[in-house]
Amino acid sequence: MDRRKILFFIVLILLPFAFQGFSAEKFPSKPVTIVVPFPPGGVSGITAMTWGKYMEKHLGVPVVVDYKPGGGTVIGTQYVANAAPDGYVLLNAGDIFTSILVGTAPYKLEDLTIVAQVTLNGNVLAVRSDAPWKNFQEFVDYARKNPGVKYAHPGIGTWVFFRTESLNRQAKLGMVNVPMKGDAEAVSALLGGHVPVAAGSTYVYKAQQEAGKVKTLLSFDKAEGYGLDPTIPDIESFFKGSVYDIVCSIYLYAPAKTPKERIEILRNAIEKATKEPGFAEDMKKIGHRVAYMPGEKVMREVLPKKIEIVKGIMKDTGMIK
Amino acid sequence: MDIFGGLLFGLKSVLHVDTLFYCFVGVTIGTLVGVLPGIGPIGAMSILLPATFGISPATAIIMLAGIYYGAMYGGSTTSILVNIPGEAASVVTCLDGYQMAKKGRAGPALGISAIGSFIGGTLSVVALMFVAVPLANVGLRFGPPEFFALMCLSMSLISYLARGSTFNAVLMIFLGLILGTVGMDPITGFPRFYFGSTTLLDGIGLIPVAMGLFGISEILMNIELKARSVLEAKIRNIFPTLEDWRRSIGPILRGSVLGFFFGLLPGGGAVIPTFVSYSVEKRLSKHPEEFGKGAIEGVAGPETANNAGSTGAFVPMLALGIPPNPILAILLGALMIHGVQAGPLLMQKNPEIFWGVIASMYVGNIMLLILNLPLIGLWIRILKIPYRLLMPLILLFCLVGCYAVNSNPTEIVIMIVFGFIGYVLRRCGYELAPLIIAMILGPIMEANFRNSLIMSDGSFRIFVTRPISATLLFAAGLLFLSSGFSAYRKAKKRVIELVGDED
Amino acid sequence: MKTAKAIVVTLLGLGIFVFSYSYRMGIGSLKSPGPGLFPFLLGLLLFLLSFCKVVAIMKKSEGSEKRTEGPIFFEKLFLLLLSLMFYAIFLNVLGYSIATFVTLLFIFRIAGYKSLPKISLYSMIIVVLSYFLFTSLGVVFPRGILGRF
Repeated sequence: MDRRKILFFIVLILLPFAFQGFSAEKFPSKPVTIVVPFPPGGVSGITAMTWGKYMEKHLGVPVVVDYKPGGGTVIGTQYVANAAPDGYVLLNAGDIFTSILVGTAPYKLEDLTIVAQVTLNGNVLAVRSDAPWKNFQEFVDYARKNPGVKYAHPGIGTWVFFRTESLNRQAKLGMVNVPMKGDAEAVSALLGGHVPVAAGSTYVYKAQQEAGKVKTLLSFDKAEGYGLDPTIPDIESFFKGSVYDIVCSIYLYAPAKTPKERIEILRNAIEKATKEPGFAEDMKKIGHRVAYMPGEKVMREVLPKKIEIVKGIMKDTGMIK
Repeated sequence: MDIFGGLLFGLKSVLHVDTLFYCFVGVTIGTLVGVLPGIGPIGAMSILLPATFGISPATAIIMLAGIYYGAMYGGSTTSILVNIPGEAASVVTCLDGYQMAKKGRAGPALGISAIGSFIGGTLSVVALMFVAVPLANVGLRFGPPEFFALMCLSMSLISYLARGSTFNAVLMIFLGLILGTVGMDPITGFPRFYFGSTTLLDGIGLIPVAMGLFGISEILMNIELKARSVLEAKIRNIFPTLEDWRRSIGPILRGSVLGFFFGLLPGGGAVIPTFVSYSVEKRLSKHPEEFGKGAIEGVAGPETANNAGSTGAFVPMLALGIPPNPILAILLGALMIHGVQAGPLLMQKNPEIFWGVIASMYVGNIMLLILNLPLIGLWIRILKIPYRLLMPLILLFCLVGCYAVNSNPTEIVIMIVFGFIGYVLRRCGYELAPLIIAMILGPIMEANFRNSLIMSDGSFRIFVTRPISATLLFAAGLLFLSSGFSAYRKAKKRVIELVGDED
Repeated sequence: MKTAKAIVVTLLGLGIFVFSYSYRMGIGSLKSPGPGLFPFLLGLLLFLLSFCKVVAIMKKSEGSEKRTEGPIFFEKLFLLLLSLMFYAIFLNVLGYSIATFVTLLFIFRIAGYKSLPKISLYSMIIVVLSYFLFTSLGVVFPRGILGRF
């Protein structure tokens, strides 16, 4: 009597496990998860949710968002790097090589493959509306003549910092960075008069500009892509090629060993998603510009140059030897 | 639109059945989330975020906001009943709240806590209504030097947290400061003391440490005692006595002001004002020796402060569109999803959101009061549960709550380790409160100190040439001197006694 | 008392460890602090303070130390800590229900319950109810043997 009961319970407990064993031939046949390495509620989460919403149509399965914050982006990225390479676990993140270079990441660049670059996050350089510089040219002239202008940014590990430092060095602006904790603190520091200049996400400064509190001097890449005033210069048009802008890409990653056909299916889905009419609009609302590029192209053409520039900055600031 | 017109406008939009419903859902979930240790508003808010797609942005924000300030009501419950802080803002409540519960006075503690939360929350909404914009600008004037000075001032008050030996408290403060350096250095990103653990890159988590030091250590201490229940005395009253009211009114009013002010600072929150309020109340009290043994002021002040703080956090959010903490950042996200641009123009472009949220806070606080007061009777009964049944439940909530913060089992290990550390330290007479607050304040002090030096190109004059920071540093200096002086006098007395003994 | 001495010595050692480690991190100067400056100063001060305390303890005569209340049940203490550790380690592997169930069994035993069927029943009920409570509040449990359960 006892033995049978035990057997019965064992079978009962193992039953759901057994059903999971049915591997599907068709991909995808169960929900796909996009991991976001940030706490919920931020722009990244909304980005991932939006991508998922549009991808669902082309994949035929629900796409859910899972938040795994911590360590910069390390914890979430590590999770995906170690996840089963079956195409059901993906990552929404920017460039991840920074943590790898510093040594805090327990994974290598080869552990993940970029499915595609989907959007670009907009960044700007802004000053208070009562600042003495009326446009970017005046600021550049001033900065070059008076090295040591302080600029606030959301933090040393953020892409905004690297992007601004890259501009700083290539254009020889001589600015000194003041690290804050996130866009909120950076824009507060600017508004409060503690720093003359700040760098950060477009959507934050756009709101302040509309209220007349700040002047956006520069949009790192094309202003109108983000709904900004098209007369605001961008690096490309201002420096005419002498400064290379490291764009703030947001990619869709998958574990490196994911079968090529599944990556292709996913890539196809996200490509079609970006072409949908509502997609660009939704992205614009949160300060992103759609800029689809297949993963292979990114890894071949864009990534090496980015790594080279960022490595240089990291060496100079002492982040790496 | 003038202020009263705006308020009426807001009330009109709030007083609809469906808006009231969402407000109620929000504050109820908030209370529940606040009661359960570790699980904070962020988890619930992100689950409900997609649910807000179909409703108007104003209603969505009303519900999400309700979760946030509702959590501040519930957080004190476990602090008082079982010495487990529900979140960082409830750590201080453990100090005296739990002692009151052990003496059978959990009812008054919970009652004053709820009332204080209500008064603090409501007064803050009034302030929010009238002075949001000018106060937001005052908050902006706090830059790195001012924050450093403010942290110095807060630190100089920490010594008042200690019940016993000041020397021991200082040792704990240094230990806390050192623990605070673990993680990525805020200025250079250099990973300090993390020993290869990705979990430690963000520093030793505050929630695991708080739950371990206070909650787990308490359980460890209780295993040994053959106590049948948490109570050491019979339950005396369910409601606060007249005496309790009399003693609490001052702390409540002061806590409201402190909380609101700290809450509105960028990077501000509800945690720091709780410590400051406790220290202030202890300093001002006529019976400071009662603190740490069950002084009602030690519950009234901090609990009011954390509610006022969470409301104060809405000042930069509504007036400038800048969320001062990660929780309000979720609200910002919700606005973005609904296509609303949060910024200084929110009041003009979306008055229904601005005034709707403010009006809903009045309603929400009333709902919370009505919700929480009757629950007190229920909570008190929990204390009567035999300890051998209560203990596994408490442990389960600690384990899951700790895991819930970042879905990271390593943090559970941290909690256990600190539970052991807390147990050992308490057995030998060391205090844990100074340790925790030093862990919180330390990194903020360091980051702002170094940023100030970057801003001034290495000159220390920046701290004294700016009026706000100079004033705060001066006050901090005075407090340090005065406590140093009294410690000196105490030591002199002891030496004289010792010398006298040898005669 | 032995434990008190152990604590102070530990703090002493911690101080030394911290300031030597921070030195290697790069102190920078007072005007331009590096990542190691603060920890270095803190470690140094901790060392000095604990040193004073060690001296004070050694000077105190034996009899004048506070006795702690009650005997220490080391056995129960470590068993409890071990059960909690078990949970932390195996939560990801076993999933919420199994890990919680097993751990609760241990904890109930330590708390004093003797009857295995009784605590199995309690634990099972608690696991089921708590699972629904927590997941409805936003807690996402890891995928263990039984999937998300």
